[in-house]
Amino acid sequence: MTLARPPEETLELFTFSVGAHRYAVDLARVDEVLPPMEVTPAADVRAPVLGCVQLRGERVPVVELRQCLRGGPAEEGARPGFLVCRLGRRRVAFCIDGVGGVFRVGTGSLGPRPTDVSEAVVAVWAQPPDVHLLLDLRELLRGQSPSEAGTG
Amino acid sequence: MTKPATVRRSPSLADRLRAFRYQPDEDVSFLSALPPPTHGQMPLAPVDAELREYLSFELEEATYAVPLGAVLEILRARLLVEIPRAQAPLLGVLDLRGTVTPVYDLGLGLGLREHIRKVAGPPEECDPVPKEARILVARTAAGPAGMWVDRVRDVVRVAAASIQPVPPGAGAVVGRATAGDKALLLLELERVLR
Repeated sequence: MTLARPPEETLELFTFSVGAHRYAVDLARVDEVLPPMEVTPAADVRAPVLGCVQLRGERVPVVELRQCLRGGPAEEGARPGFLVCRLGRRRVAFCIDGVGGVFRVGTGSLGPRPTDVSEAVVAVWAQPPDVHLLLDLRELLRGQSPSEAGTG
Repeated sequence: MTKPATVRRSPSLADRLRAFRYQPDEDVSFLSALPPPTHGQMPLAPVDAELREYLSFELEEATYAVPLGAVLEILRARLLVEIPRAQAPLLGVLDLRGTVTPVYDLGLGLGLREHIRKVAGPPEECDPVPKEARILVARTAAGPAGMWVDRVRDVVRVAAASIQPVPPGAGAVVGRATAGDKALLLLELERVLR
């Protein structure tokens, strides 16, 4: 008798690059991708928050993802932009070096997170020759907040 | 008496993936340190009061719109790489930063045109590319796909309640709405590609 396998869960990933690394977030989080815009400094913000941009009348904070991820400089040919994501009912723009694409993957194809990376990395997904780190953006920002410093 | 040490259980992959997935009601109280949005948080409006954002564009004199969230990029139209024996409405492919992306003739897919435009292959054999033509790169179930349109107009907000249904058989047109003095035909791109 063959036991039927439970159906595999799937994820829709939006991939992008920061420095030499490839990352992925849940596609449902992605609101839009925009070319770089002028960032207005905001009072009482500290790195990795750069300031705010106005998106159709809404003030959206901009986060320097490179700093959160301790990433290296942009690769040659990078096409920087802002990845505007939903966190709860807020929108946050993240600076990225380039857009990858959208992929539907089964959770069975994910690999375990390396032990020596940020807690915000939940798993890895290999798409040869690239390996993408799946990012929990809430965990990433939580690790940057003063009260949680040192947990990321 | 010594208090027993608390062992913090390492989250399982399932726990981590749960946190990875977007949930509108997820806890983001730690974001209070970020600058507050001008208009407050995204509204918890019922569906009927919801404003939806669309990107509008022109095709053969009519104005169409697709959900803004589905659009990844807008590119100036260019000649494409030809795919031998490609089936209409596939025009060809373009190299999008290393990703081979198919580009479709949206006008043909919607039945607005009879003949596929020739925009792939040797330049001397191709039709001229109109200055205002654009390729909308949209996310589809099969990955990013480009849609050739005549002209991009703007981003419009439409109240969900104001979207009028269309009769069965309308193909990829899933609704009608108005933005200013313009009538919009709302498209579901996946249906064009079926």
